[in-house]
This record gives sequence, structure tokens and C-alpha cells, in this order.
Amino acid sequence: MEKVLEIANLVKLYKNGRGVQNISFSVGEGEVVGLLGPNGSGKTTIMKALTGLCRYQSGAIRIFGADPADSIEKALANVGCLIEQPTLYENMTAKRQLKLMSRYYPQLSNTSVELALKEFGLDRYANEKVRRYSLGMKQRLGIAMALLSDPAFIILDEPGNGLDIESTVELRTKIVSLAKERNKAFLVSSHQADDIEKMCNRVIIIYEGNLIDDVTVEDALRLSPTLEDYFLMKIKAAKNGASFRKGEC
Amino acid sequence: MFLASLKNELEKLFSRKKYIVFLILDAIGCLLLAIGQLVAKIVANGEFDTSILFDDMLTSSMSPFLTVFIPLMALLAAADLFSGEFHDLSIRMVLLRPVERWQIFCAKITAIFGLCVVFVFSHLVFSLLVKVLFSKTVSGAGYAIGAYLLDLVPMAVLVLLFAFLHQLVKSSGSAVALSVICYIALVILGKYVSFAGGLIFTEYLSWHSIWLGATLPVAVLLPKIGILLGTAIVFYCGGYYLFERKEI
Repeated sequence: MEKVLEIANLVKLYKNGRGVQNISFSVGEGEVVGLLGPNGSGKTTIMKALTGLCRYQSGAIRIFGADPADSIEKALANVGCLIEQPTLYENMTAKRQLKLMSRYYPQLSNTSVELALKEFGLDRYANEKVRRYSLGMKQRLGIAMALLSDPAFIILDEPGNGLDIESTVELRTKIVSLAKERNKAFLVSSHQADDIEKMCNRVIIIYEGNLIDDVTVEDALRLSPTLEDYFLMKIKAAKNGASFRKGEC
Repeated sequence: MFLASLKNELEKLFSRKKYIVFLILDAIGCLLLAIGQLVAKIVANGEFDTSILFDDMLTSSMSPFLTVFIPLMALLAAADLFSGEFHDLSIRMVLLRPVERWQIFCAKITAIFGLCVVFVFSHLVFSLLVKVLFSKTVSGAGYAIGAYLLDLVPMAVLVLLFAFLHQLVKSSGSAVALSVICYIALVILGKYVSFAGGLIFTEYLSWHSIWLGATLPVAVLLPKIGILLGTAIVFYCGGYYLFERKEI
């Protein structure tokens, strides 16, 4: 399995002392890796560092072998991202925004925009200004934008935010099928263990800026009835300062 | 990727209705100015010789247009494309694409300058139309086109100044306020403070007046070109440095 993302000893600390330190992991082709952690644990910081939205102090990041700090154009050429909530041009229609974004990918045509709108159930509202969209519709548009260029590696930060139950299930199914059938790699963050359990092969648990576990979902479920239980056990151990590592518990 | 970014930035600017409204206001302004001149002449002399009256029609409105109206447009555009996008985080849409930050920065600056060019030439066209309408001649059009083209040079430096200032503060409102204060301060400094005479680029906003004389004053022009170029480099480098380091 070829690596699409490699992170080694990543350190990004903000002025207030929060951030992440010594984060190392990788994501391979066809893998769906979940970043799981409480609010403010550093999941989004890792994703921002990966995509060049913030500068990291030390460590190394390689996306398809390219360092985003050196050339974001090379690093993100085959990557789709949705970081935090979708930030859209409120005075533009969904169709127009997708068209604007499609200009960054010369291989895309107008049909790609139409297809993306249809795939995420936005074709009926394609010519409506985004400011009139509900939170869920905006989220779907954000995900459509991330997947627009048919990237090989997709980074999704809390993709279920604002989505109703049906859309959440649809999204999970889509992620799993894209990974299985088309070998796409995903890095998905969430603070909902249930979401991660249902769609990821592997889970990385982040707590207070530290990576406290990197385990396959299968192994985690062998040790605990649910991923949520496993997560709580790990967090408790981290809080108590005990060194729980895979295989020790 | 620069061209894709430039197209997007221009599309974003021209999708905002306010710029179309300002264009219409400019056209109305040109018409009202001509009518005002005509009425004033009739009241003063009882003359109705429009051919003489509209001799300088094409250049008479240039000064207020270039020192007030165009800077205002550049300022609004900078607020839309820089501080506005950072404020509502829509800048992320672009930053998460495979395009380098310098290309994004240059595309935004070029788009703002492009908007200024559109306004300058629209103003020229409106003035020409009014002149043709009232005096049935296009005399002086060549000089006016040259003047407008030359005045685009200091305009580019002004755009770089606004782009730089919009990197200094986070909120859009503060960025606009800071830009207005700086611009007014520079204009006052250049006009009324003796030691700053000739060193402030805002003095050259009517750049054509130096160029379009009987002879070309090369000795006067060279240091002025140097000042404009130096100022442009400082603003570009400062603006890009801050833009590149921004964390979103």
C-alpha cells in the first residue's frame, strides 16, 4: 500500500500554549483513517498544518511526497479538503462557486460541476444564492467542493456537522465505497466515536495535542465493545498519566 | 494557476452589484458635470457656444476622479478581496486549492487594478460620450487617452498600498478605516509638508501632467519614477510577506 500522507514529529504550538506536538502517522491508499479526540484536542490543527493553512514549528509533512510548506501546488494537486465549517461566498450561487473552484483543475469540465451538484442533492438549488442555504446544505456543498476534482486523498474535518441522519449515513456510505472501490484515501476527523467506528479502518486518538493511540478499528473493537468505550478508556488512561499502548491493555 | 486565480478574483469583484452602481453613478456624474458647466456659462455670459465650453471636458473631471473616486473603488475592492475574505474565512476556499500563495496575492492585486482600469476607461468613455453629445466633436480625445493611461501607473502603487494595509489588521472595517486615514495623511503630507515634497507617491496621482507637456522633462521624471518604483516594491514585499504568513 503506497503512502499518500506521512507526518513525522509534527509540532505546532499556538501562543496560548495549545496545539499539537510530536504527531507522527501515515495514511495509505484506500485507507479511511479517523482522527478522534475531544473538542480542542488538536484535530483541526493537524489538518490545517497539512493543508498549509497554518505554519508548523517543526516536523515533516509529505503529501504524495511533496512538502506543503515548500509547494502547496504540488502537495494539494490531488487532494480535496474541507476544514472546519464550509466557508463559502455567500453572495454567489452554488453552481457558480463550484465553477470558480473547477478552474483550479484543468481536467474538469462543466459536466463535473453539474455531476457534483446532482450527487449531493443540490441540483435543485444550484442557482440559489448560498446565503439562503441551510447549514446542512452548506455542508453538502463544502463536501461537494472537496470531492469536485475526484482527488486521490480527501481530508474532511467533522464532515457530519449540520447533516441530518439520512445525509450522514449517505456520506459514510460514499466514503467507504470510494475507499473500497476506487482506492481513495481519507483522513476524517470527528469527536463522535460512532461515526469513526462505522466508516474508518484505523483510528488515531488525539488528546491535549498528543497522539495517544493509533489502532485499527478492528483491534479496538476486540478490546472494547464499542469504539466509544475504547476511546474513553484511552482518555482515562491519558488523564491518569498511565501509559496505555496498543497491546498492553 | 495564476490565470485561474485572476479570473476568479475578477468574477468575484464583478459579481458584486455595488461596482455596477458606482459605474452608473459615474456616468450620471459626467452628465451632471456637463450640464452644470453649461448652465453656469449661460448664467454668467449668456453664451451657448458648447464647442468652446466642452474643450476640456475630457480632462476637467480627472483630478477629483483620480484622487477620490478611484481610490475609493480600489479601497472597497481591497476590502472585498483581502480583509473581507479573511474576516468571513472564505479565503480558505482558495487557500485549500493547489495554488501558491504568491499567485493568489498577485491575482488579487491584479484584479483590484483591473477594476480600477475598468473604472478609468469607463469614465473616459462617459466623458467622451457627453462631449460628443453636447459639442459634436471628439477633439482632445488623444490627449485624454494618453493622460488616463499614464495616470494608471501611480494607481497601481495605490492598489499595492491598500493591499499592504489590508494585511495589517484583521477586521474589514478596521482595514478600511486604516486605509482611509493613511491615504488622507499621505495626501496632506505630500501637499502641505515641505520636507516630504516629491517623496510621497500620492502627489503623482495626476501623473500625466508631468508627461504631457511641450517637452519631456527627463531630469524631473527619473527620480519620480524611482520613487514610484521603490514605493511599489516596498508595499508589494510588505503585503506579500504578511499575506504569506497569515494563519487561518
